[in-house]
Amino acid sequence: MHLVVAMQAEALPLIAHYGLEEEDRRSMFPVYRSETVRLVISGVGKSMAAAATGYLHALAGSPQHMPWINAGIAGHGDLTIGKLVQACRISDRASGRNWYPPQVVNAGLERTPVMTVDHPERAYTEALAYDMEAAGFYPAACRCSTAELVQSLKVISDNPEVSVETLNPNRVEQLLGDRIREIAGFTRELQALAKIAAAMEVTPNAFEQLHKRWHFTVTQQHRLRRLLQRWSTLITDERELEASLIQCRDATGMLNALERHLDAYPVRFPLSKSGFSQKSSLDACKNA
Amino acid sequence: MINTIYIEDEVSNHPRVVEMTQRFPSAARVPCERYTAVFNLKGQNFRLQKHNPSLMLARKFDNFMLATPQGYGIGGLHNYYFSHMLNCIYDCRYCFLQGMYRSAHYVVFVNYEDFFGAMDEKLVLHPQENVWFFSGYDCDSLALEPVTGFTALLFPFLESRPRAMMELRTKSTHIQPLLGRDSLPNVIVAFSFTPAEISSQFEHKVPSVAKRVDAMAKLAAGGWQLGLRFDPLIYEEDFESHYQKLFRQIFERVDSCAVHSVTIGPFRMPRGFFRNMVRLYPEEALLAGTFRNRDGVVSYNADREAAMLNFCIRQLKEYVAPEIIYSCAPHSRPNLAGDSSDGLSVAI
Repeated sequence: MHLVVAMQAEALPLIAHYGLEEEDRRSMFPVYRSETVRLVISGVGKSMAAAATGYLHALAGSPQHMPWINAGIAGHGDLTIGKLVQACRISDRASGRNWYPPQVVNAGLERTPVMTVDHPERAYTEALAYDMEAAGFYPAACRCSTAELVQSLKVISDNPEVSVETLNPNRVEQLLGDRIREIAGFTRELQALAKIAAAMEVTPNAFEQLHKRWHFTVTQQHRLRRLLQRWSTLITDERELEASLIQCRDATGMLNALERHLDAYPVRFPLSKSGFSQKSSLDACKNA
Repeated sequence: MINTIYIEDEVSNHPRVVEMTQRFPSAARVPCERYTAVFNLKGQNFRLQKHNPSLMLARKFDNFMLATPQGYGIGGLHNYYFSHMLNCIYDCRYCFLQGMYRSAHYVVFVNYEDFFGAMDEKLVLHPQENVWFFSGYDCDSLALEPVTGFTALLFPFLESRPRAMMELRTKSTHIQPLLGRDSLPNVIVAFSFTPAEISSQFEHKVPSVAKRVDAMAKLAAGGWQLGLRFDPLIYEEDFESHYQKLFRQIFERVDSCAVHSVTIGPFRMPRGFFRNMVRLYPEEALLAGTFRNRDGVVSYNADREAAMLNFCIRQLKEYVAPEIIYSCAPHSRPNLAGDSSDGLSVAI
């Protein structure tokens, strides 16, 4: 989980909740982390948010299918102070551009459009949330992950009745802290979705071992990956894999043997499978 | 349950939009310039969105009636399909929509009158003959009917246009709008089936085979003409016994006299769509079977396909006249005895 917040006061409740530790004091942006969560403090404004998002992505090794959340405070035209909302549309007032984060997670949060402004909003002319980062964060994070996993959560901090001038770091920390359970609940659901997305990209265990044994062209690597996916879905008896590979002398022969075996495999629905151990099968192949 | 409704600015005051949004009072309403700004974006994941799709209310501007693909038809010379909706509330693992669209959101084009106008244009274009219109190509015709109310307007339109032949294709058992009125001689309510063993594994959220058969029986009793759609045919080792059982199950309850047409079509998918589906569901058993790329179309090999079609045709002939059995697979026709292979959908 990657979290992008603008201010230290917004970060503190998240740092405490997730037990994060500072990663490197000399880094371009302050980054805190645990085993599963990274948080970057971007500073105020959409340019900073975009830069910090890219920085965190690179720092983490450019992982795919990472959930990204921009959490922070926002003003709103009519919602009450302290309410946690989920951005269903993000607009950049300066450019007029709009983005629509897919609303796949249903954690019971109110959904509201968010308008990113370059200066604190004091007029609250529309019934939407006003922030200063979402329009920088969102398009940047969408380059790092699928759109469903990129979301923006805002705690309403000011409105026409309560001026933005009343805010101070302690108040901001309190506003986020009061909603930390809801934020954590939302992130859990997003992480569950991320697991599904990650499963789509899983490389079968046997792939690396076979890849080391023979030389595969890029096209052959794609074919191998798909054949192994099919194998792990359909076949229940590991001895069959061993038997199908035992005569293989090169990558082409191995791929053809796998495909022949899969094509001849009798499929019955509903499918029942007991799984198999690819490791022992490959050991047999190596010994051939 | 719909949590979010995207509404195109242009239709925000459309009475149909007002009515539909009132059905979901707690849903967030998100204005957007065009539905395509949300629906067509890159970097979306159909599988993830299928967990909680949103509703999109939009206006369609053109291409209301499109010529059907070659071989798609049930006896008519001129065949058109239309999509007043995109996507489906069901989640069938073989469905081409998941390979075709980037988004799983449900799009409803609310300017129904423009679809009707386009039908009229086609009727003028083909005078003195029945013209066929197919709904349910990019969606399920009836599944979202409680929201769209499409048939409430469509049926009166069809009443006064007897040459406009309409197929409503569905897996839904939401048939109250039809049972609550007189049947129409120019409407075919076509139900799609795979055997229960396949349906239970691959047709997620779809009413059971038994419930669909029950709905068909009720419609037949109400005088509606029915269609049976076995498309796609799904191969497995027990293919013959499962399809045999399915046909028996249907015709035990449904009077064959009420069946207007039966369509069979083997599994077939543009290669790009198939690739997208595998990317979304690499672990899916249905997609892990043996397929061949035949001129850019992923399908079973020609021998298997022909065997499946021939078996089903033989079985179906025990229940219905061969004149009303149609194949939707032009490339497999040379393998079928007695097929004219003339590029039109023909009765077997």
